[in-house]
This record gives sequence, structure tokens and C-alpha cells, in this order.
Amino acid sequence: MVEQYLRWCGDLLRGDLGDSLFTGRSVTETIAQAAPATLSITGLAIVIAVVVGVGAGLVAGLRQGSWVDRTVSTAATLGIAMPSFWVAMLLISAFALSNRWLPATGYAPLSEGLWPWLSHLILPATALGLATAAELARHTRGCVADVLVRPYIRTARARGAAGFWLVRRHLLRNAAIPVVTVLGLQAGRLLGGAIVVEVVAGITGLGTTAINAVLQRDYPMIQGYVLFSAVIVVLVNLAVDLAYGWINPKVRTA
Amino acid sequence: MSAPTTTIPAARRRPLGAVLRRPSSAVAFAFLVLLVGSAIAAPVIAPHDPDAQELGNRFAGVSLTHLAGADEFGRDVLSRLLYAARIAVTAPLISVGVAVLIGLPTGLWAGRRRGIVDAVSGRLADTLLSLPALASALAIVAVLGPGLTNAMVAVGIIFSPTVFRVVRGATLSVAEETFVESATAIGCSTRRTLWVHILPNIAAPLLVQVTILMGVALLAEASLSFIGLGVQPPEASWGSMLGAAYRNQYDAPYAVVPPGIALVLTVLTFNTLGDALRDVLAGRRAS
Repeated sequence: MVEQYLRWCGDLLRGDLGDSLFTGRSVTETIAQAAPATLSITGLAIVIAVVVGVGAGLVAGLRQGSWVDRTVSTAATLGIAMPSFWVAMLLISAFALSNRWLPATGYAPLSEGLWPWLSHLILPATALGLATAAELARHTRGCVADVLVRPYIRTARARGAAGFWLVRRHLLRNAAIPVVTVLGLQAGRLLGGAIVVEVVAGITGLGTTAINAVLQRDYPMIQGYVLFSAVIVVLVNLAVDLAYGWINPKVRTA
Repeated sequence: MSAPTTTIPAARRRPLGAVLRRPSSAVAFAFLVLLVGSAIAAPVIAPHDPDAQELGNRFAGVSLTHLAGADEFGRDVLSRLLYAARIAVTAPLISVGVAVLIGLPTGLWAGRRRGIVDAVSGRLADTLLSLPALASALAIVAVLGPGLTNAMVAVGIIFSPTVFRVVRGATLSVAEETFVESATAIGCSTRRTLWVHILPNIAAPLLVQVTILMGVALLAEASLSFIGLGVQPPEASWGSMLGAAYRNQYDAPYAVVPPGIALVLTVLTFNTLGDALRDVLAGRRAS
């Protein structure tokens, strides 16, 4: 068994993850084919989550106690509690089945054009990104509230900084660190959520490949999938660490 | 000078009372009682046998005999929802139980012994945490085989590093207290120190973590049952009912609503209670 493991590790270094027990195709090749769809959904979900979550959190933090703030808090609490695959089902039923505005299932690679790609992904990615957006909104609001009471904000205001300038120059940078941290923690959750959302959206990606592998007890395929997901999560967290240095020059020398 | 008792805030004396005094968590607690009540009383209050098929009633709408309609085999949806509440309560308990069973002793041990034990178990927990949760759960289910218990044990194993970290952190901070030092000084055994002096003091953060994990476990159960790796038919969980609703969405587009709402409300309940407990207990430590 030790020899078997060492041989697997040796093949791994040569980029060979073995062959699928079920289809007989190489695991590396299968993953390479399925990955673009999954990475597209999760990537778009992150973009949606950052835009919606940070935007909503910023507004809520700047207008604390207002109706906007209360609406954002309630929506965030709900967003965290909703399973993404359920939201995907509701969105697809509303925008693709009842009204045929968007395609209900399938995936179009980016090479077929921006709109076909985006139109297939927008509903599942929104569903997937919702919980992350909610989490980001909460953290952004908390950070903005913390930063706003600091003396340097009072100084900046006294100097006449207000509105957009104050937000861009003094708030965003200081609120960015915890937000980026949360994003790193969410990467694994998004890849996991993508498994089920892919099923709902009828997209053949890593998730559907993994589910089939589990049902068929296709161990090399599962090993390959888990390894690939772990590598993605580690890469995202590396990017997060690099982002710290970019956001805050104080940590650069460390 | 006032008597010291008057300066102790209510939260310090009765943390549960302080949690329930918040309107949101009182509602959440009431819902939890209702949920557990209907889970226990499901055989009594369910209007029909949850597995009884009436094929003539396939996708029947809302009526007096079927208050929430019927599914693809003509089974009563309301009865199935009520029976599924049993799984919504017990399945997360399996996961959280497994996570505490693994995370609590190892966390206590690492936090008390420090040194090499701490370093090794800490690295192991970090490694497990860096894997995407649902992906590792899939891998464990692949080895154990599909089924509700296996799926929830898998989720519990995934949760254990989280519990480990909370327990270890709390143990480290409690171990610095004078009463632990004096217990060691008067010759208490390690086991007695852990059991009598440390455990009661780490119960609060552990309770908060467990409550929040209950909600996460329920979402994981729903996801795994949705893709057919959790609950096996004919048994119903809210996740597997959503799976059936998905497969029949052209025949019964509204079937996705009731199980989804039950799921959201229950997760919301666990999250609300967890947040309230954390706030109250954090206030208690600050005071």
C-alpha cells in the first residue's frame, strides 16, 4: 500500500493522476476539460459577491441605523441561511422557465462569445455568490463602523475630506484587509457550493464529475478532484496573502 | 459603595435568560421548540402516511385532504415535510456529535500539553481546513458509501478541526488563570484539572460554535441529500424533497418552495441563536 501511494505521488509529479476506473480516460484530461466551467461559475460568483457585498456593506456602514442599514442586515442574515442550490432553482424557474429571458441549463465556453458565456452563468453564479456577498456585507459594514470612529477619519473630515474622496482614500484601504481575509476563507465554500449549483444549472463541470465519481466509486477521479480543489484553495489564499502586502505597505517587509 | 451583586449584569447570572430576552432569539427559540415538537409528534400530527402512494393524485394541488399538495408519487407533502423535520434535527446532531467527539479531547490535549503535541495536531487541523469542505465530504462518502449516517459522519469529520481550534484556543487562555495554576500546585491530576477546572470554563465558546455548526450541518445535509448521497428514498429530508422537486420542475414548479422555506427558517434559527449566544457571552467576559 505504501508502494502504491509512493507510485501515485511519483506519477503526480509527472502530471499523471491515473486513469478513471469508469471511463478509462486520464484523470488529468477529464479535470482539464471540466475545470473551465466550474472556475467560470466560481470566478463570476466572487465578482458578484464583491460588488454586491462590499457595496451594500459600505452603504450600510456609512448610513448606520438608517433603513438602508436595516435592510442590508436583514438581507445578509437571510442570504447566509439560504442554500445556494435552492436560490439557483428559484432564479432559474423565474428567469429561465417562467420567462424565457435566459437559458435554463448548459454552459457555453468563452470562445463562443461573451454573451453566450455570461447568459449561461449569470443565474447560477448569482445564486452561488449570494451567501458570500452576505458574509462580505456584514464584515464590510463592521469594518466601516470601526474605521469611522478612528481619529484619522475625524482629522480627514476636519481637513474637508468628504464623500467619495473620504471613502476611496481613507475607508476602503483600511476596510479591505478583513474583507480580503473573508474572501480567502470563502474560496473553499464556493467550490463546494458549485458542486450542487452545477447540478441545478445542468452544467458539466468539476462538481458533476465528482458526484458521478462518488456514485461509481471511481477513486482515482475523486483523488484528482480533491487534490485539484485543494490546490485552487491554496492558490487563492496565496493571492490573499500577496494582497495584504499590496493593500497595506506595512506588512511588505515581513 | 454598592453591593457587588448589583453590579453584575443579568447576562452574567443567567446567560440563557439574557439570550431569550432579545425578541429575535425568543422567536428563534420558539421555532426550535416547534420544530423539535413536530419532529417528535410527526406520527401523531401528520395527516397521512408519508410513504403512502396515491398515483391518481400525482402533483395534486393544495386541497383540504392534502394541505400542501402531493408529490410525484401522490404522497402527501405536508406529512413528508413533518417527517423530514426529524432528519433536520437528528442529522446535524450526528455531525456536531462526531465533531465534538474528535475536536474536544484533541483540543483539550493540545491546549494543555502544548509543545510537540500541539504543533503536530495544529498542522493537521490546518491541512484539513485548507481542503474545500464539501469536496472532502464527497471523498469520505465515496469511501463509506452513500447514506444519511455516513454523509453526516463525513460532515462531522470535516467540522472537527473547527471544534479543535475553538477548544484549543479557549483551553490555552483558561490554562493561564490562577485557579488552574493553584489546582496544579495542590496536586490535582491532569485529568481532574481538565474535567473540573478547564472544561466548565470553555463550555461557552464551545456552545456558540456548536449552535452555528448545527445550521451549517443542516445545509450540508440538504446539499448531499439533494445530489442523492444523503438520505435514501423513500425516506424524505428537505434536501431530498428539493431534489425530487428539481427533477419534476416542469410538472410541479411550486414544489421547490415548501422544503426550501423550512430549510431557510431552520438554518436562520440556529444562526440567530448562535449569534445571540456569542454576543451575550462576549459581553459577559468583557464585564
